[in-house]
Amino acid sequence: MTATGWLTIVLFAVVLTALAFPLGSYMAAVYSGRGVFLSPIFAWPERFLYKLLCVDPKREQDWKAYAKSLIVFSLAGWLLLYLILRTQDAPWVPHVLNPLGYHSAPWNVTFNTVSSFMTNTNWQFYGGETTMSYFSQMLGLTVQNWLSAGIGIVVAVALVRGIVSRGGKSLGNFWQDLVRTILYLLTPISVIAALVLVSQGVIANLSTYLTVHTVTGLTQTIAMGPVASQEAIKMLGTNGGGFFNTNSAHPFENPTQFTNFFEMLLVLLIPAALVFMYGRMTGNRRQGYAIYGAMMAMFLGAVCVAYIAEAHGSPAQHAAGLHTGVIHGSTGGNMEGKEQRFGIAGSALFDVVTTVTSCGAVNSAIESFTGIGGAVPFANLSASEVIFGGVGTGLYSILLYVLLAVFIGGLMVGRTPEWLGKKIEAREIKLAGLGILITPVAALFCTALASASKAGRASISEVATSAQLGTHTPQAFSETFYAYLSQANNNGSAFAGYTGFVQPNAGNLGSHGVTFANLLGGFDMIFARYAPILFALAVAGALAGKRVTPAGLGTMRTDNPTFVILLIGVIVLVGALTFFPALLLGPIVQGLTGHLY
Amino acid sequence: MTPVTVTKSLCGVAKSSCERDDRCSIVVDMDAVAIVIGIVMFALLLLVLEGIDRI
Repeated sequence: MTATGWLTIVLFAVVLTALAFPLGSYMAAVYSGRGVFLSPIFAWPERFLYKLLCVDPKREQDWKAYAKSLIVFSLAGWLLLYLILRTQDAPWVPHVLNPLGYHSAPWNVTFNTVSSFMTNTNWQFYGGETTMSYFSQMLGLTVQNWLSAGIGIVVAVALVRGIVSRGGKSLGNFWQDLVRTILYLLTPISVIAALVLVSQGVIANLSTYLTVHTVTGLTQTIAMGPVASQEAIKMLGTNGGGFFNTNSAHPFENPTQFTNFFEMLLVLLIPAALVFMYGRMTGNRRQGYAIYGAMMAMFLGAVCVAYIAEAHGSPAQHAAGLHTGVIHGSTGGNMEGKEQRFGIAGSALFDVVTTVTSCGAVNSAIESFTGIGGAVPFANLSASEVIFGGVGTGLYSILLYVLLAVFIGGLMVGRTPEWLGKKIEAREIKLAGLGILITPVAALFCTALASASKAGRASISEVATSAQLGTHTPQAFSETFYAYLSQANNNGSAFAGYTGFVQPNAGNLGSHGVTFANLLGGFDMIFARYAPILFALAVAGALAGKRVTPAGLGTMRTDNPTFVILLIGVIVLVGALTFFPALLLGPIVQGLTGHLY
Repeated sequence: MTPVTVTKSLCGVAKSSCERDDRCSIVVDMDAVAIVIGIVMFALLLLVLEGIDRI
């Protein structure tokens, strides 16, 4: 470990908080319908979009109407993206947008990819530079990066409106919230971020790929493309789908220490700001600070564990007698699968930032982390996106946990549970409980199905199998479990190895997909994305109709350190009870045995 | 400096077919299956919505 490494982590937390606080105030103004400094620029485009969509932004929607609009919009996006990806080599596509003449990926891979980008997951069975045309990347995947991020944010906003509502059924208007999110929030930050990235060396062009002759006399193909614009929204929208196969480890996506720091800030900026927005909109800023404190405590805990574990080095390094300490010019530790330009701290921090959220971008190989370091992303995913979480997803997920914590706390002190002056009754707890359990159920069910079936085990990599155990090794289980856990959490990072796409050549000719893995993954992502959204909106609808009663002397406070500890305890307990048996079969048994799988 | 040559496309290097007339048919039978599955998934979500309303 180095002082620079620790300083990076501390600086990151400080800068994030400093940026998220004012952004939260800005977002509260945007979603409260108040004018903001960007209103003169975006007022006209906003009105134009309402006319284009044929919607009346002043028409209030209850939770069901809000949810139906969201589902219908998502289905339309799903179909459009499928069409775009399956026609990337159609005659009407200009040559400049498909200069390499790439064919479309097979139908099953496209099914998985469409479901992935629609749900903010960005799980990628394919490599971007060998599969997708610029047409597909720009008009298909990048557009969905914006829209899926927008959908997550508007659900969180609707839930906050339900909490602050003083009776009535309205949660706002889905179309207005979505348009305002894209215009007033995602667009300005993305444009600035893309320009910053370009200034640092992230490429943005429509050139054909380069072939260069290396100093050793070989030829090497260097992929090009409009990377910067996708990189900006990929991080800001916690999408995570790499333009290139190696994602943010690629120097054209993430060239310097500065871009690494900047991209990590982009990932957590909106999830963190949403918590401050929540505090402002509810008129109880301390409530927002309490939730922010719980998130930051869990986040820093995860970062510390990952950094210390990776800086310590791997057991294999120690067994080989290698020096893993800090020496001049090297950060030491376990550098397998990590980029020299990011080092241990830059890799460990990036790993935690992208696995506590639904981002899933990677700048290092997670499967090359040490046992403890690799357990951190598992644990983060097991927390179901409540440690900042995805844009919007994080806030509405932790608010469901807050509801559960309030209920448990209320039982402990023997009072009717109350939250911000609203009595919590059986219906809200049922809805919150089901909303919390949907994601683990989807992940575990899909893992069990894939592990128990021959079709599922076909996707396991050869390196995870052994002569004695075949595909029944702990590493094979870890690959499978991580794949479906990551997809269920709409994260998209991979433990590597689990395959759904066999591609002998770039350009997709002769390629084929593994139907089982692609379809099951698609179901996993869609179900685990939208079902919790429906439960969150239903909770919003239930809370919106409740009257506010003044807090009494016996009311349990939900904005003090005691409640923060209770909230963290509930999150850890639910995650541990749900996933511990599965974690035992994979990463933990690997860590407890001397076998190399 | 290493000399750099720019090729028009990757066709030769990656053995990928870049010929426009060698294109696969755009819509195959399985596309229809995939689209139906997609629509059914979202229809199921609408049913879930109605189910949640009864809780």
